[in-house]
Amino acid sequence: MKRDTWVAVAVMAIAAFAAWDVYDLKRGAAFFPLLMSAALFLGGAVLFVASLRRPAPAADAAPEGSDTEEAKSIWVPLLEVVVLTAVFAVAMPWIGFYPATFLYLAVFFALRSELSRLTGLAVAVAMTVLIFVIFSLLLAVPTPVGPLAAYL
Amino acid sequence: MEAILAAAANIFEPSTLLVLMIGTVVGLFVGALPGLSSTMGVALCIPITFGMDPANALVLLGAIYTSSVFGGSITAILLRTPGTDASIATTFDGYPMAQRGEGAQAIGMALVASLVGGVFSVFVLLFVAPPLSRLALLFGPQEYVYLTIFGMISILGVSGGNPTKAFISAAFGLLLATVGFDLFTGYPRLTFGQDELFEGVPLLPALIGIFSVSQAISLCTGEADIGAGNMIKTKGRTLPAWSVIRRCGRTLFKSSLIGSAIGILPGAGTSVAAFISYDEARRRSKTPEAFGKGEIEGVAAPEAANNAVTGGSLVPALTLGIPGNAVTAVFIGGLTIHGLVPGPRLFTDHAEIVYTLIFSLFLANLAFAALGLFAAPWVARVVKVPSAVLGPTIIVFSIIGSYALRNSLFDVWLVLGFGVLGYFMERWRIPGAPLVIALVLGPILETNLRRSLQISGGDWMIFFTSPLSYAIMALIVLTLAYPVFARRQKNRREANES
Amino acid sequence: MHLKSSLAALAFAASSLAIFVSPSYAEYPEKPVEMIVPYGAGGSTDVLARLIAEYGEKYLGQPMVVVNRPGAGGQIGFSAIAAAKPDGYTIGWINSGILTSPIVRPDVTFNIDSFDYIANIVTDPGILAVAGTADYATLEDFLKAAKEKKLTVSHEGIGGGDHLAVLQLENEADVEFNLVAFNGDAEAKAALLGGHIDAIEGNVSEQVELVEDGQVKPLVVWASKRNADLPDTPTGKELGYNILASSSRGLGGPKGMDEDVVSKLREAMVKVTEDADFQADLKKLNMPLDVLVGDEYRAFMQEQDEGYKKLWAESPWQ
Repeated sequence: MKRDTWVAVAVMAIAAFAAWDVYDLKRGAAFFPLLMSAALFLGGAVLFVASLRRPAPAADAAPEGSDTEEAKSIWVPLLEVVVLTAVFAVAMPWIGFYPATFLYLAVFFALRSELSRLTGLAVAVAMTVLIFVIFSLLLAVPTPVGPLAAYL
Repeated sequence: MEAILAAAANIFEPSTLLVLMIGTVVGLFVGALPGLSSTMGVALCIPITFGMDPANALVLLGAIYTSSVFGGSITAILLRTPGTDASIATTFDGYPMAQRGEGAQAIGMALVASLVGGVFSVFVLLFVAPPLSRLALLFGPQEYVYLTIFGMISILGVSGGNPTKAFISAAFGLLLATVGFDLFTGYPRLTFGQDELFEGVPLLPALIGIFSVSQAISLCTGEADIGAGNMIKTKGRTLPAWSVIRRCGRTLFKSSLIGSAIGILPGAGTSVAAFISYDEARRRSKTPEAFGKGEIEGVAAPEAANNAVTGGSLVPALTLGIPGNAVTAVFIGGLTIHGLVPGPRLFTDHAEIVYTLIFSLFLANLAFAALGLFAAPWVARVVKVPSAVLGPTIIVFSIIGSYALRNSLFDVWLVLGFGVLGYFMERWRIPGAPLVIALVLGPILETNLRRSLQISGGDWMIFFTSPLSYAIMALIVLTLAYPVFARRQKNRREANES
Repeated sequence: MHLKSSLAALAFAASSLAIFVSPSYAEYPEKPVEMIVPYGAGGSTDVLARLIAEYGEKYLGQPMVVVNRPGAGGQIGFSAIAAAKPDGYTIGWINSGILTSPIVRPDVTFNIDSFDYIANIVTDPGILAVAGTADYATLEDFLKAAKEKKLTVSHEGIGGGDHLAVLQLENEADVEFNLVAFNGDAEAKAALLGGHIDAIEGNVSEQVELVEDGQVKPLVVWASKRNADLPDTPTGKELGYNILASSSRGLGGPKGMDEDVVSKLREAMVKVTEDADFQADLKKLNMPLDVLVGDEYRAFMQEQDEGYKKLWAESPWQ
């Protein structure tokens, strides 16, 4: 199946799920979400039909190359970025925002940029300091500190 | 008149000018950083104003407000990461220009347009504030319904060539907009037991996720390489040529008018003004097909409009004490601390201070324009920073910005979730803008629709009673019919010629 | 000798351990005190909190840091205050939401007994008002008209103090209004002045300015005594309605704080509220100072709680 077909199915599933979730609410509260789920479902259905009717390769692959091939080449770096960022978000409340930021940037630069190890570290330090100056010193925004930093 | 002269004397005090500059710089930063909104910038600076005299305090808040709206445009143009929802529309043509190496020129146009829009709205505030605020009161819930529908039409303009997918994106946004505690029945909807969703999907994490984080992911994976292959033309002039400004003159004027008008209406919002203006400019253009591909007029329209909102939104805030949007609501909080209770008497009892504020808004417009002009060629080089450095840095900014809004880790995950969603939407060529506009407009549409029906006791005829409703309805029909009409006329002209 | 020195060492260790185990409260506060605001930055509670923080440092001897924890109509912030470590370094702002939320949502993690009450700072009484151009001069006129034709009254969301006040009025006066929810007083005021609704149920401070200007006419104030800013407006009790409604803002901490710590916080807050500059600032903000300390504050909350529980039993609003 083509990509748009999958997207259309997912969209219709989301719409159906939302409608099911709000269905038993009092009418007034359910009215709008139901209407919007219906609209979303309709949109999904139109896309579904359109994706089936279009000749297979031409439509999806037209301007920017075959999507399936492209997708494979991008899958690994994407996963790397997402996992790294997720680890950052998990670690932040434990080790504090600034240490986490520094580690995230340093690891990221080491893995994914062409910066030399030393430059990467220097840039990571500089960025962390810059963010600290803007958010904590100038704007006094509270950041997660974490139990670890609390000991220091 | 005396008050105006006294205010003019106030504003040129050295200390006031210093405060003005500081406010402008802070505002530019706040606007440019993803996750820091104008609202937050003003809110964070209120405690700082405790110790200042009232005039300076207002100057500071006013300068932050105006310049933060412009600040968001810089990153919107260069990185496609709008700092606030006000500059989403600026990305449509600003970013393609930056990709072509014309980032400085796009910023230059944004600067001119912001200046025009900002100054225009200051004049509106100065001369016609009290009568206009009366006019705004005529807008009842049913008129807001029509107004939001009018705003939704602008989504069609940003459909990116696939109306079905734009429709899906908008419908999904409207569905997300219904998440949370229902004002009218008290029931939580679609919250799945998450208390953090009780007040709905917060707009900023959604916006930052879909625009900034998704773009940052593309930068990280090396897909979107802004600077690569493009020699950044640092030689090129920042300011647009006079002929370009002349060409955009109509758009600038019309967008300023739209922005000021929408700003005056409580609750309508900055992004709505920007979208309507963008759509209007595109529709009236001789080359509508160039929009979305780096048309400078497409930068001018939303920029003039979003800055025109600033003065407009202060009209009901100062004259009636009714804030036009979240920023002015916070602004009112800042005013009252200094004993300036917004309301009908503010203009008579504290005329000097009000005029000081208005002049300072005017000067703040000049100040950010000057600063922007000076900084644009340098800032435009940010695209030369390697993507692998830029990407994670934007992510870090987005995360801390989203966290800081509510001090909530939930919002951090929300911003990352929306980032991944936005990334895939981009790959599947589903435009993200309709989703975000729908998320802004959805609650306004739903509450006003249901409020109208509550007032009428369930009678749908309430939508067909007031002349004002008919006027907006006519505007909607005209807007929808215009492309058809224009095409027919073009065909006729071509037939005549042949 | 050997024994003696080991004993000394042991004694020293024990004493140092004691220091660790029971922090010397004599020195509280030794670090900044975090003050949770369950609402967004820039709102009225936030403005008040930042004002208290400004003056509080002088009397508490440590900075007071405002942390906004908005969400779920205050529930997220209330939960955070109730669940905080009761060491006096995390306190926060509470209001009648700590009473109504547990009634409607049995699953919330706090109730009236989850807090130590430091001091109430501000109480803003409820008010029912109509547009200046309206025909009704008194509440009786208004209620009479409401019996002939359904009148539209605004409130700020189901289950809020103002909504409950109108419900009580409906019960006591035996009328039925067309109740319309608004998001905050700004939108409701715009609708009232534009003639889209008949009356507004809100708080005194939000209306004073428009009342003085003649654009809004107050019908009744839901307080036990007349309001200083609106001396000509009768109270509900004067008119024969036993209805009390107000939005109060005070400071509380998690249950179980050390008595010394609580009294230090109370003392500091009382001193702040006695500060002439603070009082002047508060007056500018149109926030009526209403200092209730400790048990007095607790009793005030308890009285409201009983009223809400009674209303819920009679006519549940959700």
